[in-house]
Amino acid sequence: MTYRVTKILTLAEGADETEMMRDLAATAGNRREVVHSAIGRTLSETNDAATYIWRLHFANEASAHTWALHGGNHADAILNDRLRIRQVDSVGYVGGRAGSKQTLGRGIYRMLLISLKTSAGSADVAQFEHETHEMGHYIPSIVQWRISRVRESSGTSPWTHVWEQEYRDMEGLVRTYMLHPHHWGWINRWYDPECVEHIVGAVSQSFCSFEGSMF
Amino acid sequence: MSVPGQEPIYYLDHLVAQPGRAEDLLRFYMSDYAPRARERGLTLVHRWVTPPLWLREQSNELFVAWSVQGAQAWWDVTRQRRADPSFLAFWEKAEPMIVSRRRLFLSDVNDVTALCDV
Repeated sequence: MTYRVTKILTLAEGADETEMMRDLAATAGNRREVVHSAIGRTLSETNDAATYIWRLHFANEASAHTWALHGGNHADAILNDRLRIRQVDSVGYVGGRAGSKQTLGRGIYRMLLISLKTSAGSADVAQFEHETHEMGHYIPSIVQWRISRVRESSGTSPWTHVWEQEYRDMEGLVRTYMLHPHHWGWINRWYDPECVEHIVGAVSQSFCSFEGSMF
Repeated sequence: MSVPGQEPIYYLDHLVAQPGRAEDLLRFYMSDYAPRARERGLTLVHRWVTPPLWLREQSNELFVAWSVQGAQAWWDVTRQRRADPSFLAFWEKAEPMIVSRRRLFLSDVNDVTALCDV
């Protein structure tokens, strides 16, 4: 089963973006364990630092671990260089429940790293996952989607879930997704500290354009 | 028919008070929570109680309804609430007066189609 590793990279000020992306891509391109690799610069308007989403697919979890010991260690050397990288959030996971209305050749990929509170009960977690998946059925601009549990996590929070979506365009994300009542009137209670259903401790959002879907 | 993008959206706080504490709870809600909620853009539209008398040995249920105009305003208020820790502090201080509570988000049924058409 495909194992996915996704890293959110925040670059250090003054880092050479082109050189670094080329070097990181080489750590994946030179290794047979890596089935797919794609690096996209995020489109967030609020970030003051350059941020990239690096997505890696492996045939299985064992292949990901093999890569981590070989090509991946070269990547780690780059990612641990504080002159080049300021922050890395990383998750490893097997794809969870997914949905698809169409395969897009290009569009907007958006991911939300989610850290559920350790106090969250298993029934609430299951309901949260179910309702998150349902968003794709209710919100017309979500073309492909997946909610997955994280197996390996590092970075600013202990990430427990990845919520991924693909949209045709930015309008689908910033308008339709945000303003649809399934979002603000229903699912958001899990995220709202004033609601008794609140279980989400932290989130980190990133989105970038893509050509060739990796769903 | 509401103006597109300006459909009223309601917050409903449903509070089950501890027996004999509903008046105290409502007073505290109105003096501590309500002013800040108004400052953040919410408009108070209803304060209901059932049964319609103050019970001494059983629980009253309170329903406090607020409104904002449109989903964008809902997000604006939500972001302001989350950035202000005093909202959460209110619920922590009010907890001894509450058996259970729930916050619901509602709209007029006639606005559902327009709200989903985004």
